[in-house]
Amino acid sequence: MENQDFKILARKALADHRLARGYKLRLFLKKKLAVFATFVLFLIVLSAIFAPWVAPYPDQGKGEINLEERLQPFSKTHLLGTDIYGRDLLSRVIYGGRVSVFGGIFIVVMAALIGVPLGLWAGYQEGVSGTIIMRTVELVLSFPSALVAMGVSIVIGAGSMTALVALIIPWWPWYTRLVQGEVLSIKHMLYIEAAQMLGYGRIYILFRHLLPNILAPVVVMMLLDVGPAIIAIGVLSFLGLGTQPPHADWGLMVWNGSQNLLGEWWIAIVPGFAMFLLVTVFNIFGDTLKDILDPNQS
Amino acid sequence: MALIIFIFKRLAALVGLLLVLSVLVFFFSRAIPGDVAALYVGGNAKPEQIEQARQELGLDKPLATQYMRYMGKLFQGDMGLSLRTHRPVLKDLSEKIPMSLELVVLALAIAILLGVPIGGIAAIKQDTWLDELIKWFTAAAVSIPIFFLALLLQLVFFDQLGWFPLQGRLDSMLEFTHPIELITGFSVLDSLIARNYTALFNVIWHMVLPVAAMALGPLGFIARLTRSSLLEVMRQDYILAARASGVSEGVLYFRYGLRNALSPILTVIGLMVALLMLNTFFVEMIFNWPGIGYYALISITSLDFPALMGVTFTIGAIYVLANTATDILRRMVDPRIK
Repeated sequence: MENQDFKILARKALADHRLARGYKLRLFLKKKLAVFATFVLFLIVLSAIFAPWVAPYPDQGKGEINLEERLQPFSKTHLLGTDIYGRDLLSRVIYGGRVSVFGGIFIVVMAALIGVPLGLWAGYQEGVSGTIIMRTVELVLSFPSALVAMGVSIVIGAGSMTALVALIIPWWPWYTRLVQGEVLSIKHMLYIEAAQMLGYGRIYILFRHLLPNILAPVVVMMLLDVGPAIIAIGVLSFLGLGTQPPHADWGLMVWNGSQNLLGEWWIAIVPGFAMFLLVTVFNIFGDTLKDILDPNQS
Repeated sequence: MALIIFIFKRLAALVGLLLVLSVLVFFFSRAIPGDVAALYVGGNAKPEQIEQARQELGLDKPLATQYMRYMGKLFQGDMGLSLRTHRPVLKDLSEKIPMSLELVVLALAIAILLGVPIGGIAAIKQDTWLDELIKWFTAAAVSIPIFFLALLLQLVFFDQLGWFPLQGRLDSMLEFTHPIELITGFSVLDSLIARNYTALFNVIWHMVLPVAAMALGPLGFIARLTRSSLLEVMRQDYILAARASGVSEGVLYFRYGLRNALSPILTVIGLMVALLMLNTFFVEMIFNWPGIGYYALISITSLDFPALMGVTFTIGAIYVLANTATDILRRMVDPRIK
């Protein structure tokens, strides 16, 4: 009988949970701006994935030079004009989007993959190893991250991959600090102590019991970090420390275009606007999800 | 008393951080690809000359010895000679830093003076069309890449409208007719002290676009922060109690709300200074403003390693200092922080 009651309770809880999830989705769909931003985001991501099929001139997107049609304004054959080497700007922007979209997500995912386990460990296992981790975190965060990233890029040599590595190095400590704080606040809760008493291993407790309960703020932080990560990539490549020509990259394209700003303005403004648009829609998307996911807000 | 101990602790940490910074900068400069001695003597030098330069610079000694030597000189205010300008790096920096700080301080002041009220209005008018409008504006402000914004401003306000100059600090004519005498290094102050009003207005006219480009991002950030922080505070019980006892809404928001909401804003000011220092790189490059960011970029491209070390150390030190100052200020303003 008791067992039966328990089952009913569990079913009800599950139903409530599903309802809540549906409620959150409906909450999101009610925000028109967020829905629109998600739609634009979806389009940009899809065009980055399927660049070879979407771009009108895939070869020029990859870097093929076409000197007969240099510096052309918007036209039917080149919707967004051409650059100084006559390459179709729309194709370049679509190809350049790959670095921004995937690079931005890659940085945030890697930073979380490095930072979260370290934070779990440092929070759960105070002691020497935890102290070393947290001191390292404080140290890295004491210096301007952009300067660290620029220094690393200069030392290991410019390139798209090195720019990403250079940005992950100052980025992961934010996750460690966040997770460590969260773990400290829940580690003395009854269910954790119960798990300890049942003799579960440390690693098991960390990933099975602690991680799921601190995941929401981590996900929120990741969502909000993608936009800044995209800007950071653009910043490095604008300075020539990221993607190298002939590959397309928005930051690099803006830099090249800035040389012709007062005549052929579109060469700089088109990729710059693309970056602005992507970061904006990512931020709106992240902000809205944050409001919905974060129980402390509203 | 606790405050004094706190300040001492922070200052001790500051010294430690500066030491670590010096080690990092030193090893960074030694890890830069390229032969420093060859760069030092220039293009077509003979191998013996390069060898001699290596000995002169102490590059043949162990790294630890080199570091001690570098630190010894740094304490005497000697950062070496720039390979490019052939002047002491410290002298270069002491001229460039005020130029950049001028932009940074103005941009920060505008960001705070406009950002806090805009965020406050959004909070007071929560969920109205005004709040929505401010939300759009601030979302765009924090999302726009600074170099794109700077180019956009040039295109609109110079190329299309012709309201502001394209770049530079002073009209090239005025450089001869009304040059700014170097006193403090801050252009506005120097022209004020010398009562050189022609140059003063010209400098301010040249500063509008770069400062606007630098201020917009932090402005949006501070406005968003003010809004959420103020809304958070207004939910507290003591606000409810004050409202129940008949305190007017204006007093409620300004004396009870905003004052308590300002603490998180103080916290990010250190971060804002860091962001603005970085943004000088782009803004100075695009607007051809002769500050530290522009100097740093040329040092990177010409592998001018003494200059690069000086710049990295200076920017790192400004960042660390700003953070320490913020911590202390926060602690003084908000006694609840432990």
